[in-house]
Amino acid sequence: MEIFTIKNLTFKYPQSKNYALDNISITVNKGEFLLLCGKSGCGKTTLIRQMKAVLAPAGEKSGEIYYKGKPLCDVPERIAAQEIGYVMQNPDRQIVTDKVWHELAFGLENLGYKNSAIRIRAAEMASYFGIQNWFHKDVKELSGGQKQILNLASVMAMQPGVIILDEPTSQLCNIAAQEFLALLKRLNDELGITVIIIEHRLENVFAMCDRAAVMDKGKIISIGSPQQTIHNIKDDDFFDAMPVPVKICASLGAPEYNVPVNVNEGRCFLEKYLKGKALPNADDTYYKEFGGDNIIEASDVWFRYDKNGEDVLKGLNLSVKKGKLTCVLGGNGTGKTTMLYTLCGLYKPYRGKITVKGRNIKKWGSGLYGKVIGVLPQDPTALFRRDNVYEDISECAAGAENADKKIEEISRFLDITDILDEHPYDLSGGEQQRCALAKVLLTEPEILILDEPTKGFDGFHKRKLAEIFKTLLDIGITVLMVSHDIEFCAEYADICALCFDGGITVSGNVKEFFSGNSFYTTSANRMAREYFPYAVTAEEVKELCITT
Amino acid sequence: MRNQFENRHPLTQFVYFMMVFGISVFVMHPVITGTAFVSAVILGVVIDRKRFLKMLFCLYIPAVIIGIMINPLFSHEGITILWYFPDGNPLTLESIIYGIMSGIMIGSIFALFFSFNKIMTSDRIMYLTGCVFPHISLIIAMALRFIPEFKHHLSEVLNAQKCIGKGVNEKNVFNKVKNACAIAQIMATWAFESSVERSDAMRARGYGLRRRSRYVPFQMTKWDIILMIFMLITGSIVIYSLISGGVYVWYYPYFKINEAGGYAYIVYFLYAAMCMLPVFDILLEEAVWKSLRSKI
Repeated sequence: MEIFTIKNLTFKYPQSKNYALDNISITVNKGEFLLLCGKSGCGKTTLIRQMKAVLAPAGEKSGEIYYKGKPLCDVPERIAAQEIGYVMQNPDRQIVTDKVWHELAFGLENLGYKNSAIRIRAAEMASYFGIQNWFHKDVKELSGGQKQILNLASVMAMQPGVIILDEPTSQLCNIAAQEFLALLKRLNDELGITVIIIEHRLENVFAMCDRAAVMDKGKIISIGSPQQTIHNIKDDDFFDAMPVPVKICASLGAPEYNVPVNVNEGRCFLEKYLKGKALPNADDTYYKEFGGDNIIEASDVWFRYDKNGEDVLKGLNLSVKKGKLTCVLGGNGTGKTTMLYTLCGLYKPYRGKITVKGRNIKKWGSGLYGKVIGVLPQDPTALFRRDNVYEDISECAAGAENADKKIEEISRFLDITDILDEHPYDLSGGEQQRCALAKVLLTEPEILILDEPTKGFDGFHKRKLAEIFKTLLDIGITVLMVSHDIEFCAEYADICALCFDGGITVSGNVKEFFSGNSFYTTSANRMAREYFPYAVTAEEVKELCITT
Repeated sequence: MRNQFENRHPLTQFVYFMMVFGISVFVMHPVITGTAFVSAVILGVVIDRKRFLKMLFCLYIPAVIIGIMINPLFSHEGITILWYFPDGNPLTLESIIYGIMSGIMIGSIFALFFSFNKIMTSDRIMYLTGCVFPHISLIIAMALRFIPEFKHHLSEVLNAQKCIGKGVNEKNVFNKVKNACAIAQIMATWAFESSVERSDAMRARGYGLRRRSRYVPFQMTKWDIILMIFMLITGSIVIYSLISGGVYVWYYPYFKINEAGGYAYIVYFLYAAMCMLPVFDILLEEAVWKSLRSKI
């Protein structure tokens, strides 16, 4: 039975020249797990918002949407609210009330359920989603992953038949994202809930979906089973976003319609592929020690927020090499962000010493910010002060010689010349990040510090960011970033460090770092570590396989 | 772990506190006020001994002593003169008695407030508000959600601005004010943006449909009803006796109290029983638990 049938749907935002959705026809079957992917700005969100009538954006629209055979606009609002669940990207902004139990009850209150019925549902949801231990907690005490699970649970409490999710894991770390997706799969398997999900990170979700639809410029360019999708978009540049095992195996000539989609299948494939071939000796040309000066040095740093609180940093030792890209990895809540803010002097450690360019950080004063250190916070909107991008970034160049020229150069370099007249809040996440970066770079820092710069980015924007980093490194700027994006760090970092329990557990050259870990490493490395322990990116594995 | 009375229905707790607070604030009868003080102290000790005793000795008792000392200094009414101050004003027995009683009254209200704070948590108060104004309780819940989020984002913005040299701790006053204004503006924009997204999430979950109900996470048991009826009856008897003049007290011009007798004893007893109700409730439950566990 079809849940949604969309026929020739075309949509245009007011004051926009291009069609956001261009003649889209798609059917979603009952109990299906449908993945919707595509580059940023290809109309994915616009499309799924059309399926939830109260959230559909205003604009020129033609074509029909049917829900269970009825036109969607004729479905009563009460039925639509109850049967079509919707989960958004930002875990924080969807939570309405201050208590977990109240959040679970909120939807049912709106529908006018009786107290006893709500009690049963809330208990049921709490048990199914493993919430019972934090049922009475304040929402502000929860982690990002828990918040998103709460959002899912509070939508599921209304017992919808179909659930629509708009990049639900993009703000979560890897482990929380996997947990969330596993729950979703369970809902689909055990209860037959239809799932329609948009995702950027395809690593896990691609293997679990029934069908995947790929969009580009408002059109659906491919729809079908994962294998069918691999076949269809083989030559498209979106193929780069596919999971690593798919990319490696497809280029090594895996059989059509039987391409490995997860690490385990990939391993089996490599085993067969490399059978009987002579493996190269463990190549230690990869291994190189970085010389050079330490531009930031922290030794035995201890920090806590409150006098009576717990230590967040416990004897942190870290040295950042000049002119290199250093990445600090680690899960949520290990003190990464605290470490970053301590290293740039915003938080004062109660014990230990931090030096920047050989000078104690306490002696720098406010001269440290701007010329020496530039910090890009996790949320770029924290930087925007004006209502258009040009005014906003020029604020940071004010007073400098030939400011106009510098602004022009930077905007060209970061590819934001087209959006200089827009309001910073109207931009997409990637564009906001680039504008914020422009602002920080205009203060001409020697050290650039970034907090989770790849959060919510798709592959294309990640590559773009990496190019920017490379140019900066070439002109001698030091970059330090914290991230839980293992794949990005493996591909572009010079030095990696693992933050755990308030300190740095391991740090070293990127190859050495990843080949030494067996869980906390890239999927390419997990796939091929038996044969090529030092290969960490998909490209390297591919190359080594071909040359052997 | 929360004890038995803390787990009772908010309405039961509310009736208790209103009765005891109300009578303590308006009546300053030596026996009634004394009973209220003693039972408030016992309740405090039962609920959280360590913190209550600390508060009692560091804050409540000093406040009581100050109250006792201040009244005779400023009030010179009364006919039993004990002594004359150097400035010629009399020190009277009545003003001393009145001072002691008002000190104990203040002490009992403080002590009761300690328990009130512990027992009436925000969600309970919200439930009670919601009984009278159904829409306000959701607004309060949303505000309680929004405030910590706002504070968190504010600290993020302050840090971010400081790092690009636009912080609020600059020496130049003009720049300082300018930057502070800019930050206020950032926060306003952010609040607006996030509320747009939140209202989307609310509508997606059916907010705005007719006939909204209100989920109450508390269940009223038969014991709640029994306790409430008991408190209402005893409270009414006590209040009636106070209004009708069966139980009374005068401080000025001379100290006079109702005669001790069967009627007065009954009123005293009923009031004490009402004040001690939560203590009995807690201790009885604990005793039941202990005896049940000892049989395992």
